[in-house]
Amino acid sequence: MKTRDRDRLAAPVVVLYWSLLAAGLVLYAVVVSTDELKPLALGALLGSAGGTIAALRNVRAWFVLVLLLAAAYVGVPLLRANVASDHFWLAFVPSVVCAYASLAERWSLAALWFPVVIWMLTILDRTQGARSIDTLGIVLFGLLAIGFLAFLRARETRRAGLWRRVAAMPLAEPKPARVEREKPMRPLVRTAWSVAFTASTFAFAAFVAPRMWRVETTQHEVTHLAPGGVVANDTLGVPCCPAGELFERSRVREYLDLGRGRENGVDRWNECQECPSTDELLERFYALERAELRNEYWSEDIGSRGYTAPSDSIAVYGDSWTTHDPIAMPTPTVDPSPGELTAPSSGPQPVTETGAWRNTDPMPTQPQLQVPQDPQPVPSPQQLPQPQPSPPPPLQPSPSPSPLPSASPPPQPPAASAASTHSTPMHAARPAPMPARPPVASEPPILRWLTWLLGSALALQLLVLAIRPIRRAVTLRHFRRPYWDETVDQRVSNSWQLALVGLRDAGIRHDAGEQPQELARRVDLPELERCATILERARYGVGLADDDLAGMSEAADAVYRGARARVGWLARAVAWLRWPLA
Amino acid sequence: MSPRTDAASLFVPPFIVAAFVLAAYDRDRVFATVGPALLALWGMMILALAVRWVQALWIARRDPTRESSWLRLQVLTGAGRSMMWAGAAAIAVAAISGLASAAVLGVLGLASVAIAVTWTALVAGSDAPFRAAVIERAVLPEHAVEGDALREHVKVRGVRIPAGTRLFVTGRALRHGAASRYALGAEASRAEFELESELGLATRGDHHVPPLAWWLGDIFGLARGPIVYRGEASLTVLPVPCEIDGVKELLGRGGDAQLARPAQIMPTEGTFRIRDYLPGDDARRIHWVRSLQADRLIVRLPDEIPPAEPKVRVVLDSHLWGAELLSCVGVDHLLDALVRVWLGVGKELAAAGTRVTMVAAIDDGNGPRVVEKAIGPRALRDGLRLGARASWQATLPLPALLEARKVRNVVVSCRAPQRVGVHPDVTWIVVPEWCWHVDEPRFEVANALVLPHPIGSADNRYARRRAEYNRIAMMRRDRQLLAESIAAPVVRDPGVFVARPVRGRIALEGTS
Repeated sequence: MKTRDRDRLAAPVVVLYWSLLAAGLVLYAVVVSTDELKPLALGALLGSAGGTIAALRNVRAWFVLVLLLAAAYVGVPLLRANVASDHFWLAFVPSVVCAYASLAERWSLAALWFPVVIWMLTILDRTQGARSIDTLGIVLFGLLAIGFLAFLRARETRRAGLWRRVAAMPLAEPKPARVEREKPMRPLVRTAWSVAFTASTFAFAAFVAPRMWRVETTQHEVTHLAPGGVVANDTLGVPCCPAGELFERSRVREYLDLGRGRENGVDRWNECQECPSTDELLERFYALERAELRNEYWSEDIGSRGYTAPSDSIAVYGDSWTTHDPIAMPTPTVDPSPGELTAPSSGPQPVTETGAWRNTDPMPTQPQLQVPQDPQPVPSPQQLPQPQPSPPPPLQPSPSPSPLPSASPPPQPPAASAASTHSTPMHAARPAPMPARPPVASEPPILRWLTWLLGSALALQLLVLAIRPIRRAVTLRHFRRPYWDETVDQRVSNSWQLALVGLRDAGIRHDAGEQPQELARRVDLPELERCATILERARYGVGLADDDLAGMSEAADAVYRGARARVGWLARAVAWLRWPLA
Repeated sequence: MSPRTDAASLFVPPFIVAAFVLAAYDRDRVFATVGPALLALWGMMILALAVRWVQALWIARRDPTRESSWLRLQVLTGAGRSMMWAGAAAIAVAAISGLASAAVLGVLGLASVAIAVTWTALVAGSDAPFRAAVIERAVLPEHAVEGDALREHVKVRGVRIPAGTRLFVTGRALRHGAASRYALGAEASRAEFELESELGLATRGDHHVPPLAWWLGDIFGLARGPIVYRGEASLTVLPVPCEIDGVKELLGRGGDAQLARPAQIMPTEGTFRIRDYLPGDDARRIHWVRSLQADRLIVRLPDEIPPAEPKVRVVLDSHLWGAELLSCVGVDHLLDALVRVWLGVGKELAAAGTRVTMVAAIDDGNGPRVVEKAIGPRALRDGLRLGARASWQATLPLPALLEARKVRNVVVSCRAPQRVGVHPDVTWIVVPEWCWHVDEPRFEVANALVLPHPIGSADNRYARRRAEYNRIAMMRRDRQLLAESIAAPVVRDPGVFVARPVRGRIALEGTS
């Protein structure tokens, strides 16, 4: 098999695979757009390019895997040296494998896994941390299902092409099949079938798949700012009372840990109050210091007395995501003595940064997890002492603790930026957490543009479809009576085209290599023979009689009507939408 | 894969998925939503298959010659099987790890396979799409001669190709010839269409072209319908006689029937014909007694050998036990070479004025029988047809083809005469391997780093490569067996000739 033929067969599959991947990356960039996009896109594109090239060069799978291992061997030290991001490798390795599998036999489902992961980042971002998809998510899911089936079809078309041309045994050289007569309604039936198949597959997947998603949660602690924007830090600004707010984020679990999650709860920003006295301030400072120590105690895992790192908790961006998995979440046991946390009897024990389990999953069968007590008698941020009723020392001009002015509250920052602006020393030594997804007050402009674009494309297609009958009417009118003066030969040719249009409406195809007389013998229409005779006389320069032009026009019109009379009204109506005409 | 194994690949994965999901994930919720949905999908698929299975069972009971009803369950293609298993695995991964992409991919995969199987079983699960079909197949040209370029032409009318399916057609016209493969979309449903392919060079023989295999597969390559065999054809390819030198030597010292030759005897021998002496005559031929009587010089004329027998039987020795079981290419080429030499000898003899009768054992379906056809210098047609029908046979040994009357028999054989034990007076032409040598195919060892065929081709599979290796190894073993069965030293005898190719012709060389 020639390289050109092989590449021509592979081109639709490669184009579809890359389109799916690129569309997923673009969607992620415009809808989610986190800092990890660059290493992710770089890894995905480089890996896919490598996999595609290896497949087009017919490299064996084991050699691709060896190359991949070699790349990982080189890449792991780079990862430790912070030269390459872990997301680069998380994207690079599967993209190589999936791109290679996209052209391999029997691996269509595995090949689509990485593009689906990329698409799911955007789709899951719209799930509000639950097993439900919003309208855009459904649209994206539908597009993904269409892409999936289109990819399968392209692969099968390539397989059939290879089957016809490649074998260990000698194969006959095939010529293109010639369809002489077809059913006029077939294109409509095929289109209807494609729509029905795609819709049923999509509907089933959209109904079942989200029910299998797993929601994972994390707790994220944010320390409030003092009034006036003074940061509470080691220099001891003015901490708030309560000093911190405990938020819970939830998201659907996915391979790439890039889901932003949905933050639950309300940031009681306006409830931040100044601490009333120096003693209490000092006490608060010590409490914060102890909380920070405790945070380091957990985050650095120096106090994991009896604890085992949970196998399925993801500790990226400083948040420890825990999943609602009854298998992976054994109930931790709490020692009766306060502050002493004991290991569970068996199995891994996930832990969040606050050591608290919160289950927001509405599943009734979730075990009730107990909150382990802090090992130190340090009050948790939630348990920080509330303002005492005694009047505070006059730190501020106002002699008494006064709540923040509620009449003119400061502008509420978006929750997405809250995590960054609320960052405290508690998180200072750790990577910044993945921001929560901002509340959907209104759709982002890009989504509106996307919707507009899709709608416009659909409208354009409908417009093109609606214009076809007009084009046909204009063309047929020209065939019958030219809009401008034409030569006799051209008018004979126009009449012949009119006859061919009528034949095509009846499902009779005219092959380019077929002579007019052959077509006339094949089709049982007496007027067609007259058309063919006059046409051949015109073509070969034999003189035309005076009445030949009029006779040709009449005969062609008779063929047009006679052929169309053979089919039903629906086929005749559908024929007005067909293009090209003959 | 057996039909029952194929059925297992349909039935098992959903059970595994259900077991994984129910046991490892969330028993209550899956039971409420996912489980019933998957079960409904699976049930729909099984129901469609069951209908076809019962239908096939009903037909098989009425007609025992029909295929097993289990074959109707063989609906999954290789891609379909792998996708069903991969979908089940993806759902299991989703149940265990909770990855949303695995859940989406698994459900999409299982759903597409199940819907494709259901649709294919309903619309293409029987031979109904081909019942109204009119299939005309021909291998052209109709009157082919060995070496002509053949092409297959199939004209089809009325095959129903349901939407979402594709028609696949394959077949092999000649035994070692090229296989033809066609694939058509649903646009050809109930249409008139023509399929055509170039089959390569024609090989001698009266070929019965087996029917083409037809089946419908879905456009995603996941499921297919049962295989239907239609479109038989027949083809006769006439052999091309060799140009042969030295045929006159076959008739012995008499040469041919037109001219006598002087005997190689001493000049003083012979007394039958006399004439007057002419200047230049050998003085030793002077008949002195007659010369004295006639008073002039009289010389004796040399004796003549009378003209050769006018009738010659050219016999084709096609008796070789087990030849029809050999899979090698060489066994066919050997017979073709024998026929070419056999016809060439007959043609040359006829051109020289000898009455030639071509004799061969022909199997016309009722067992081999001796067929004789007289040919003339310009009437070779019967001989060519006889040569086209010649085939290896193990029933009639060579003595059964020879005639005991006083007719000269010229045997064209691949073996030396002592191996078949015929009468020594028979003139024998041995066609050695250099007249017909052809290489058996070789198994191409693929590069360790590169696939032998383009990626995605089914022939890259290890099982197929192994089968191909075994097939070629068997051909080469058969070739070795053939060489051993026909190899023997040619005895040096005046009646034994060896055919040797010389500049595009065959020269008969005596061994004495």
